[in-house]
Amino acid sequence: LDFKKKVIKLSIDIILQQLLNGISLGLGYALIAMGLTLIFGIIDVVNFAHGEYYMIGAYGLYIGLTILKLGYLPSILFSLLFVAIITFIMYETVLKRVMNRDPINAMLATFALSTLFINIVNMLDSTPKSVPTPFQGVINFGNIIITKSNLVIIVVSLIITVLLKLLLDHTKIGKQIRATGQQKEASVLMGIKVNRIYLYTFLIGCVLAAIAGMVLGTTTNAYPAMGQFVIMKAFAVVIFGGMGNVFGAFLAAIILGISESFGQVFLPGSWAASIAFVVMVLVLLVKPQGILGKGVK
Amino acid sequence: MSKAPLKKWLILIIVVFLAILPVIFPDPYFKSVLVQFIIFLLFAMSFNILIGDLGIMSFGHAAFFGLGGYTAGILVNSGTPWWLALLIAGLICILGGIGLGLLSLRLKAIYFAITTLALAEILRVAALNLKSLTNGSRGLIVMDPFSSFSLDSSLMIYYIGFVLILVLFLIFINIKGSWLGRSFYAIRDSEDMAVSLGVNSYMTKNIGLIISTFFAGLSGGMYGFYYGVVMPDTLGIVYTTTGLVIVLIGGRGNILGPVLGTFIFVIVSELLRAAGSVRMIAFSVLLLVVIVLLPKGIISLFTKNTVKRKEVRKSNFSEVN
Repeated sequence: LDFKKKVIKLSIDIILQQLLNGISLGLGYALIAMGLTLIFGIIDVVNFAHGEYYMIGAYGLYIGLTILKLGYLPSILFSLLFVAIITFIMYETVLKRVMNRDPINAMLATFALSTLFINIVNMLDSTPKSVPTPFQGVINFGNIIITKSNLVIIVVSLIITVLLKLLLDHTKIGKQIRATGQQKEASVLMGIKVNRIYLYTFLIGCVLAAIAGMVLGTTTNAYPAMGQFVIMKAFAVVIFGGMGNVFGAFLAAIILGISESFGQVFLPGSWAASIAFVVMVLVLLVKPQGILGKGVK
Repeated sequence: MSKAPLKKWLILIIVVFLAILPVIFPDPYFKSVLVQFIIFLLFAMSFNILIGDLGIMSFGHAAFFGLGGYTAGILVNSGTPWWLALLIAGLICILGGIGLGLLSLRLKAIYFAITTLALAEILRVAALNLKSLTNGSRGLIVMDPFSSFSLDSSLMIYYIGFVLILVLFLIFINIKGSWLGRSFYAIRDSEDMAVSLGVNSYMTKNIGLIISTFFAGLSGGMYGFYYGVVMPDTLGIVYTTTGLVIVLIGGRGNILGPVLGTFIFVIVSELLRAAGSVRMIAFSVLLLVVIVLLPKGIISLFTKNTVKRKEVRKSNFSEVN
């Protein structure tokens, strides 16, 4: 009965509003998932610590703005640099050593890093921090409302996607990255320094996660387990889009965002959060290669 | 060969010693540590079947731990005797395991790993939302099923776990040389090779998963009986991490690995009991060190094929660049 009432209430405005919310939600997921799927596609490692780079990105911005009292731009650069340094250290000390031995070990290492990062932040200060943002308030389009921070998510995500596409398709490093993903041995023979390309891939992926953390962190606060919360969604998106397929992930993220945003209208309680997993299960059953078919590395 | 009878005697002495241990030292604190040891050892041994013996990675094994805990708890609360409740909890977990296997064991290992993670998360959300059944975020209060027994309930749980662990040991000693055990190890070492030699990898992995989920469910049920409460977090990442830490630090694929791992885990967590985050930091650093330096766990320091392992590592290193 409740359900029927809701269907009747659903007007065009609500549909458009949810569509817009869904797109901004989905583009947020896309930012996180593209880095994750890139790392998987090129290096064959599932980065379970990806959500923690997202968290560190948000904390980096918070530290830059409220503790170091830098401006917005320097704080963003500070956060990116911070994440890049951590990624570099993580790669050189741990991942480089385990990657070539057994893929399971690499997965476990990222899993251990994830626990490590969460608990270090938890130990230092576990209270949620609100990340300041210059983009406050809403914009009205007739009856449809969009918060400025959601608009920022949409704009940043689109810009980053285009930049990533340009980087992978038209630069020398991008070509080397794709070549390594396709055929590691052949790339070594062609003179590509595979280890360095792996490092670059990790850096790109983790910096993408950090950007997502900065953009989304302003809407959700920064807290230690924030990465755990989104990483599950990111995995669902990555599988939905085809593992290793960056633009499949982009598409999948938008579809998932829209379905979740409509799910919040129709489903009781916090069940909408499990739409992602139901979709993931269906994809695994019906088309494990993902929506775009074979992974285009 | 001449060593074999001596080894048998030694094992028998250790078993008898462990059996009478809580009777010799009836100190309640010591007993609580022992029960904790037994419950986590059973959980870790069930986990070891997956990651150690079959070489398939799961990041949601706690799903079965929690599922067993909730099932056994709900049944005991409605008046079912403890043994039936545990058995049904194990069987429900087997059903869950079969579903998981049908869904993702045909695919590459990475899909299985992520699916297990998602399964645990779905069950956690379900436990939070199905309030009439699970009491939501406040946790399910489990009645003590041993209150009418003359024996102390923590002792009962200790002996139940003890017997189950012995059963699991016996299962493994017996299947080690059989077709099933050999299929396990063949799949772990190289799935492609195993399949090309006629091993039915899908079925073998499912059998492993069934054994593993059954015992994980039992350990979860015992956890609920002992602590008297099952929270939605029991299904979540913390307990999976606990299992992973135990198995990997001890040594995956070795039957004594989880025993050593649980021993280290219980000692470290008792020492750092007050500091939750520091404890997890200690475990993750230990885990990283073990993964980088001793991929077969601390137990591999005591086994004989150390030289062989070094050679393998060297050859793998030279393969790249």
